[in-house]
Amino acid sequence: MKRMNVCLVAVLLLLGVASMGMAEAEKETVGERSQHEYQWMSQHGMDETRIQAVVSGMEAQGIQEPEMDAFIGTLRGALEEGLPPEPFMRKAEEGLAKRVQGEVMVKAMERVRERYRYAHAWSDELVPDEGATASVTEIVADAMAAGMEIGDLDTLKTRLRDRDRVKDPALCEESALMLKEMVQLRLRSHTAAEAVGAALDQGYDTADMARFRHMVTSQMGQGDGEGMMHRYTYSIRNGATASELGSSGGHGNSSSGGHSGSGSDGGSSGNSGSSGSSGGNGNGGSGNGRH
Amino acid sequence: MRAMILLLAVFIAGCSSHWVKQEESGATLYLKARDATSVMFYCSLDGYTPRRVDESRKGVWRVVVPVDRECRYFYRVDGQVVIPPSPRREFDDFGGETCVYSPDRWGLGGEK
Repeated sequence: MKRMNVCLVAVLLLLGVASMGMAEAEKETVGERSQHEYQWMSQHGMDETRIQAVVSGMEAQGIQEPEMDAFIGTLRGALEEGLPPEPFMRKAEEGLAKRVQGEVMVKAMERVRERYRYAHAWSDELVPDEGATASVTEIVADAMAAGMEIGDLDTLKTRLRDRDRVKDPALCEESALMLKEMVQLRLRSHTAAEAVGAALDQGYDTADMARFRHMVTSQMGQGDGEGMMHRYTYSIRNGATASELGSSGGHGNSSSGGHSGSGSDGGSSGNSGSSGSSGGNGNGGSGNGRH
Repeated sequence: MRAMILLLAVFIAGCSSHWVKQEESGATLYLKARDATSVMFYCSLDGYTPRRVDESRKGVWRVVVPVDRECRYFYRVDGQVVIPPSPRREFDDFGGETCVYSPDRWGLGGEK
């Protein structure tokens, strides 16, 4: 009897040691697999340390292995499609900071992938130069994140293609920028697309489009943004040039001649100086309820 | 309990207002959160690493970002995610929104 007990204990011990060994081996396999994934991703332009930090963060937040695998899979798929890694890392970091659940994180990554896939195809069709394509892709994807809809983007792509048989990357970029700014400022996708479409139909060039954009952004937040844009679109359709728009648009405040862009500071005319709480002074508040 | 937390979050968000002052040295983002004891700032420029926000005067919290770089950001006020009303925003793919700071002087919507 005593001998049987000793045997039983020995068998149990052996089983315990064996299962521990198996778990250890499995751990190593997972570790090795992750290591291979990281190396592969790093060869495709992703910062290895950053992805490791994200994965560690996900582990720390208790995100389960199936979701982790789905996350890595989406990332890998995106890189295989030639999509830029940065937006995916940014989204993952944002998700971690907001402490979202694994499932929500995976769905978000898929949305980013769909967005960039579409934006890449959009810009690839209109902009021949690879460097410019990347920039336009980013802008279009940002516009989509802010609520720009695929149907409206498709319509504008056709307009840009039809109008511009000789491809004009600068006009494409400026048009995309206009769309992005409009929807970020809470205008509806359709309203933004109508305005840009009218400007394209009317033969606005890159400088005209930039002037139009600056005029609109300077006047946003002063009341009914949707109404203002409809008035602008109506004026453009009735032949108003970019320089004539100030008197026909929303608030009759023709700002700034300068175009081109962002980054500089001061010196703007117009009505940019509205101060104080920007919060909720909602420019028409279209709310554009997508997503 | 969940509903209470949600109500609290809405209450905190509702009490916050937010504005931007753009200067050469940087863009200062101000958040009004009167009864907050701690405010953290998360920004896309540094991988959403939490940054403690200083209280510039009672109930007004201040953080500076580079003036010339677009970024996404949000706050945590006493542990709760807060997306204050801001002129620019985008959907965050997690079912909410995120504030967007744009260096474009025409599009800022706050103090210049």
